[in-house]
Amino acid sequence: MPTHPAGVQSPDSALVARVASGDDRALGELYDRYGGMAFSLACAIVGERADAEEVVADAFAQIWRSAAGFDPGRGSVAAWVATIARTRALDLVRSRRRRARVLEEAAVVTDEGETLVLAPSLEAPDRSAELTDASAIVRRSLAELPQPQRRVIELAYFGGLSQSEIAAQLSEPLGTVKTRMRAGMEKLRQALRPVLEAGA
Amino acid sequence: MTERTEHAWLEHTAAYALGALDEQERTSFEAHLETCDICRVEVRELREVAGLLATAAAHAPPPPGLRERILSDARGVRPLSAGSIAAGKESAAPISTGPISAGTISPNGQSAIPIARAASTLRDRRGDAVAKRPFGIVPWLVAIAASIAAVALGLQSRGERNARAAVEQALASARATMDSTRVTLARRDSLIASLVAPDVEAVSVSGAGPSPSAKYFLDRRAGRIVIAASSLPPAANGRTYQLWGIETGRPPVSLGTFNTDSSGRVLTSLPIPSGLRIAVTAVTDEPSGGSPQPTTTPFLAATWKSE
Repeated sequence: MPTHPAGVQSPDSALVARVASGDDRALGELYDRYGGMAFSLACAIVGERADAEEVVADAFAQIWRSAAGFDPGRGSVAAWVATIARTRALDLVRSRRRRARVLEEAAVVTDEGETLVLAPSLEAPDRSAELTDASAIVRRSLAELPQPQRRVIELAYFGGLSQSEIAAQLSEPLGTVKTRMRAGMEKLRQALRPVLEAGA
Repeated sequence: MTERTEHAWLEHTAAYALGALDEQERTSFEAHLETCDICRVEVRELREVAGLLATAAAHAPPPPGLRERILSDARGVRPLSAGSIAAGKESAAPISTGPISAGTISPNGQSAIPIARAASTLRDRRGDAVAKRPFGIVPWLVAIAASIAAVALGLQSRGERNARAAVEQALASARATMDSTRVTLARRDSLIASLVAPDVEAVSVSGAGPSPSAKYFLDRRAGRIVIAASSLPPAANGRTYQLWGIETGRPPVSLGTFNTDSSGRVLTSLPIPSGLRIAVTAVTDEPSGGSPQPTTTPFLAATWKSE
């Protein structure tokens, strides 16, 4: 997944401006950059590939219609695409009255506490290549969080649960969930600062 | 009235960025976001962090046909479909504002323009097929004319929506600005009252050379003291300045903590505990939050005439 477009490509925001003007080739380019990320994210949330395909098709249809509303002041194109895909995926899960995959705890958490909807943190065989790969840094940063903090963040992001729903799910006090979420996100922000700055 | 550096709303930023605030909290936090730059910056950054979580998902290659499906779906929702516009449906489709080339017209089965459907055998590959096909130019001209009309209609309805949204947004932000201005003005009024009340006592203190100086304005009746200091560097990280009021023969009483800005200035009004008959005021450098009693050498000391 190209998280760092090479210099020869147009910047993301220019690409979105072209999408907004009705240029379908720009939509294709945007898909080439972020379609893989969107599909992987959709799979992590909905589970079935066929459902994930619907989600991504819906998401890009929404992007196509609403590109004019993209505001670079509010965040990056990558985060915008991810938000739309995530929202669509959670909508689909809710409309089918199913549970997001991350909530099927027995199915997705290994004995080591590794969550299978997420890629294993050490999957890349070549560690030096891994260091330059943003998604590997994200995975490692997540893996390095204390498990309880990691769990509330996963339940929120991949499960679409609110803080009180997470508290109910884990049978933990709401205050504990809030504290873990804040602490975990703060650690992630520190750990991901290099990636965030590179993307900015 | 001590300066608060903590910002209670910041507790909500991470959960908000993850979309995990409960409904009621989300509503009130969003209202706060309208007026707070600090929280907006926080949310923007934490949203990027949340966005990166997407890349932690196990890599799943999308099916090969998905790209083409998305593109052909997109061509289908072009504003060329006059039917949907005439029916007054919300047409949020992007509208081409550039020159209309044959390639931007994508006649397909969904088009409500018969003449365009007649041209539908010309798939929309940037119009390069046009010259090769035995169709005349007339169907294209008709299609172009129809699409110009559609663009005009689409632009109008979108323009209205945008204008209304912009006005609503401007109104909300004006209201918020007014509220915060009201609070600022009320604070300023009370500060001015403390400075100009008839029996306010004023004392200036300064050290030698470029050392800090301060003016105190003591309003015993209203129970307030105003300190205006300059050339006082901001307290170090984890430290604060604390103002003390001392009654003759008694231990110092805290009047509150404050800090200076980067230019070494502060203008703040602090309440005086009732019954405290101040004879001396002085400042010390203390750990954040202040101390029960001074722990460093007092400076900017001023003596006041007895009541």
